[in-house]
Amino acid sequence: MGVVQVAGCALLSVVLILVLRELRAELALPARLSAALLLFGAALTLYVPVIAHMRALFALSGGVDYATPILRAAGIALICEFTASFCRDLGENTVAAGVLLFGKLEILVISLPLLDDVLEIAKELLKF
Amino acid sequence: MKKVGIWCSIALCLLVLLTPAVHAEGGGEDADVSVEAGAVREEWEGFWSAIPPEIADLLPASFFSENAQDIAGGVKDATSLGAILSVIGRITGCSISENLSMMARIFGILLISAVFRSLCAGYASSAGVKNALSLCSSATMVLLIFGGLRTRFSEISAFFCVIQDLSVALLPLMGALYAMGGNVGAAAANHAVMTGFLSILQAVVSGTVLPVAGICLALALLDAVSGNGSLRSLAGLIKKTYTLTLSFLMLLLCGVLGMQSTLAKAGDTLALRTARFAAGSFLPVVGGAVSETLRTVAGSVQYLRGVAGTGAILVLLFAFLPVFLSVLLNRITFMLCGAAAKLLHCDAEEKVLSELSSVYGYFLAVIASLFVVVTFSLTLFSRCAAAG
Repeated sequence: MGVVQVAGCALLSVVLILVLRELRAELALPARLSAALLLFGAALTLYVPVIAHMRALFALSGGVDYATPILRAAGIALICEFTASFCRDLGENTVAAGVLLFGKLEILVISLPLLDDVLEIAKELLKF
Repeated sequence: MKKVGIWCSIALCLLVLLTPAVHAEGGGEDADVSVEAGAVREEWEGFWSAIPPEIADLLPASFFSENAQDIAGGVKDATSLGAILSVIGRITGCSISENLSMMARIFGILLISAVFRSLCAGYASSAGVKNALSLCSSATMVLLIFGGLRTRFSEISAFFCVIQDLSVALLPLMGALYAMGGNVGAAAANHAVMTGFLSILQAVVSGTVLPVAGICLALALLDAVSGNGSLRSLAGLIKKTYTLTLSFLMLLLCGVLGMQSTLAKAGDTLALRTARFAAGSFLPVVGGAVSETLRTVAGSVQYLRGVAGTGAILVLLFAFLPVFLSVLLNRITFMLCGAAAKLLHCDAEEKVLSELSSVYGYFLAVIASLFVVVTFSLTLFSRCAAAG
């Protein structure tokens, strides 16, 4: 999906949502959700080659083991931010905060083995 | 191109002018030193066995000859400008290729970090998620940078061991040559100061240099991951204090060694002159012969001492150059990578790289000061004339 198609979809969705809001307000919300998911999906298709390229770069740098946690963390951040912004749009700030908190903790959990490795190196350095 | 040509011709002129001078200097030595050289054979062999194979490869084959004059010839050949430049070229060539590969690796890591940051900057708007992501990426990048560095300290540690082994092996040779030249007092003083120096060296190497570097790097590592900034200044303070203390210690050692050697040598000369005067006065014919023999022995020992001192300095230089050049090139690599990290706005990586460059600067200072102190003691030894 190219940028022109994405821009066209976005504009059409906005017009559709505005029309639906006037004619049948109860359908505006599902339309908004569908449009957002469609755009998010389109963005994810671009994210896949970036991830593949970054994995290759990690492999070249000799740290292929570290690629999975950091890319997972990036993915979690992406999903949480998207969900939270959607919740905020619907006026559900508390739910948005909950999602962000969950995302933050999930990233920290993923980072824990990395922090263990950092501490291990620090311990090795102090053993000299 | 024109400038390169000018520099090449200047270098050629220098080579042409300097090479005959070095050979002419030693050409007139025809003293029969075989008797004196035989007396210190065991000490020579002890010194040779302490030379590590990688340094022995850089020395000429005649350096390991049984004949003192061949050794002197080998030392002369190896100390020529061309020979030293060729050794430096060989060492630097290896180090440059290693450092280029390390630089490429670090540049790759910085590139990943920059791509990742720009990728996340677009959508991570909440501070909590942003901080968590930053922690994760900093930890990953720091792990990637340190992953290939752990083995680098081993060569610095090995250099300290080589210096110590060589100094230990040189002590008996220096003592024997001092004593043979009539500098019994100087031998005792030199031995005492060098033994003291070696015990301090042992304490410095095993107890402080690498641990201090390790503490500084560990602080830099934790500082980069936490993004705090206060730990870095603590590391800087530790390094400054340590370098200052070490410089003071080295200065003190050089001073003590210089004073002790000079005073002891003066005392030995006075004692030997008195003995010679007494022999010449009380035993008219035989006493004169004894006096002449003593003078000849002193000349031969002086020659041997020059050969041993210069040879030992050469061995030390060949032990020092690879480590010094490798650490220097490592430091330049870290500085270049630090500058690249700054350009790419990779703050955590920039902190780690600048701290690494600073720790390598501290290694350079320690290695250079150790080399200077040991070379100073050897210069004192080779320049110290035989008593009488």
